[in-house]
Amino acid sequence: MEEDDNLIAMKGVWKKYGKLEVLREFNLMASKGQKLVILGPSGSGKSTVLRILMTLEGIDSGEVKIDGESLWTMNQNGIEAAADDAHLHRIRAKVGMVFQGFNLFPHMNALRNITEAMIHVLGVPKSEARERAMALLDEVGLAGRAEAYPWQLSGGQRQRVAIARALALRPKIMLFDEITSALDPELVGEVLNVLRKLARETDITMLIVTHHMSFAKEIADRVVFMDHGEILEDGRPEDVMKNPAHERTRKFLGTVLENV
Amino acid sequence: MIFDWRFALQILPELMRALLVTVQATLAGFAIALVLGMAWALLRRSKSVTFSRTVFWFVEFIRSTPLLVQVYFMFFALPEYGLKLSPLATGVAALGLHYSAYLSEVFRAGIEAVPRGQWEAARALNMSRYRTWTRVILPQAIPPVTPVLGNYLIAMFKDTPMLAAITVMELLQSAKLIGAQTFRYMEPLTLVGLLFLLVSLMSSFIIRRLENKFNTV
Amino acid sequence: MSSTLSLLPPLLAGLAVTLKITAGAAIVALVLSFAAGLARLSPRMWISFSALVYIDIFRGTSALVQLFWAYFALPLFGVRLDAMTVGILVLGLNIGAYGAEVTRGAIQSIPKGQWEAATALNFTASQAMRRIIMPQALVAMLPPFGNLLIELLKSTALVSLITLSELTFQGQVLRSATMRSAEILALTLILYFITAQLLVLFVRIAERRLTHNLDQGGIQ
Repeated sequence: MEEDDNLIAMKGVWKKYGKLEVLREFNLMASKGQKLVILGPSGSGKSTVLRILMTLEGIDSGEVKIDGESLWTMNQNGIEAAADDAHLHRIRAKVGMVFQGFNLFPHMNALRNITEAMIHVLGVPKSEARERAMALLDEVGLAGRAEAYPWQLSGGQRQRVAIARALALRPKIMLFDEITSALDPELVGEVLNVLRKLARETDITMLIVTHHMSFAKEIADRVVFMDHGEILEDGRPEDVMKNPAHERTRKFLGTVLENV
Repeated sequence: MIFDWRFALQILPELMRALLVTVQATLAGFAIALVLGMAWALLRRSKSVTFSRTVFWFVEFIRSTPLLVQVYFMFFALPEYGLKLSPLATGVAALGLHYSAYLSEVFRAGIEAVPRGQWEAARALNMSRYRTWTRVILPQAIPPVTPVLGNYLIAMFKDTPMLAAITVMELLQSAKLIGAQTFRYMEPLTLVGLLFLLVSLMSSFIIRRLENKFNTV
Repeated sequence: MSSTLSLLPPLLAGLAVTLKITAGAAIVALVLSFAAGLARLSPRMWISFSALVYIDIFRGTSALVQLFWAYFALPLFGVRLDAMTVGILVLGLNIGAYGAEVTRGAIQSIPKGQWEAATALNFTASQAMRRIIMPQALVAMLPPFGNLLIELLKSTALVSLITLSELTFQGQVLRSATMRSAEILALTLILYFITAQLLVLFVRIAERRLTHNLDQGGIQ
């Protein structure tokens, strides 16, 4: 019963790319409304965790549950069966994701990038979709750029449209995969501000993969440190950052802090 | 009427002889296409705008009109001007001319892909124009485009049946003749199709390997 | 000069047939390009493999041999088609095989991130293809489709050899009647050339329109 409080539950997950073991016996729980920051060196498997939760990657073994429902299997009259498209479709409705490379649709303007899925996935009437999209653009500070195409926007603006696009489907969980890594340094702030606001004003469960330590400390109510497909630290930000239990964490924090 | 394997086997040697003619015509035609194609590519670089434009439109004309009509033109019209060639020679010349239009584009792309610095270096070394082309530019321009050239070789091979229209004894003509003599078209035409398929697929396979080789270098 | 002009009406009548075959075969080829191109990308092995067999057979053999086979050998199986139908179907099948490779290549050239974003937004696979991937792939397809259209126009000359009275056929008839080979064949070539240039122009305009529509899209 206790388990069902967890919006996200990954248990004993193994994930391999060929011989490379990306996740090893991986466990991660996250409860409703939690703002969880995942830290770790590149190649530690952070992005893979998010991609598995978004169903962009399968797993080799283990169990992944979102909102109490298993991702890769479903219940048919009490018997476990492989998940079909309809099942995945239902679960995906609870999850949104923002990518490092924006992945906006280049043939649609900002407004339509946001309304497209609202209209054709959720079935929201066009006029209402438009209103909601305009409100979201306003939230991310882009009310004036509704008609602009992705190529006419700066990286920071594009990423803010991408956040609005994901929010438009009203997910319970939002995944942010290094969303400032492709940005020029001066554009990082405007995107992080949107995340701050989101963390403060909504009860969306947020999983954030980032390299920005101070930002992590400020926004997260929980920090996880990963290395080689395993979680080494898991706790409140000040504990993990000030008193890490592992030497590897200290090393990582050291190099990251030096670079700041 | 079903496919008669005994008959098919019986006519196979004759078709194989015709395949040899087809391959020979292809190779001869391709040799002409290589030379002419390179000539068009070089002439298009002429400093005279009028001249290079004329070459461009000539090549464009060859490329956007049917090979079959070009074959007819060479076979029926040129004798009016006193130029009479055998059907096979006419066919080979027409194939060569037609494909030179495609190859000139390939060569042009290859030449343009050679970095500017190579020209400048050759000039800095005080190389003659001829030497620059033969020792610096072309040796770099041609190897990367060989797979594309190979694809055009296969395309030309598949166009040789058009020479049947001027009675060249290639594969299709030979099949037609067998058909006319025996009133059986199924076997000769199917065999011709299979022979083409076999040769094209084999050559495509070789070219794909060539492509991979160049991609990995 | 005036006698040269008198050669024009029969040639133009032939050109009309040429255009008819080109248009018919272009439609067949377009449908097949998308059907076989998409089938090649299907995760189901047998679908993808069937498409590969079609593509390799029609790209691996010669268009003229295909025409002869369909016109002279196919009737022996009891399938008797008139020359016009054979011409349109075979040339359509032939160019469609090349078009399928264009379609496949264009779809594969769309970055993986577009598919991932579509999945994250919970589009179904067919919605993602129709709304996200295809509109972008179309822009990449148009120039090679334009080239194939010219190849198609040129290959219609081959149907003269299965007795269809298109432009090349009319030229040959006229030639044997008048023996003015150079004049007639030159005129024939020029008519093909002008038609090809008009088609190129037509494709360029379509290209501009399509890119324009994509840019100006927006919500109605």
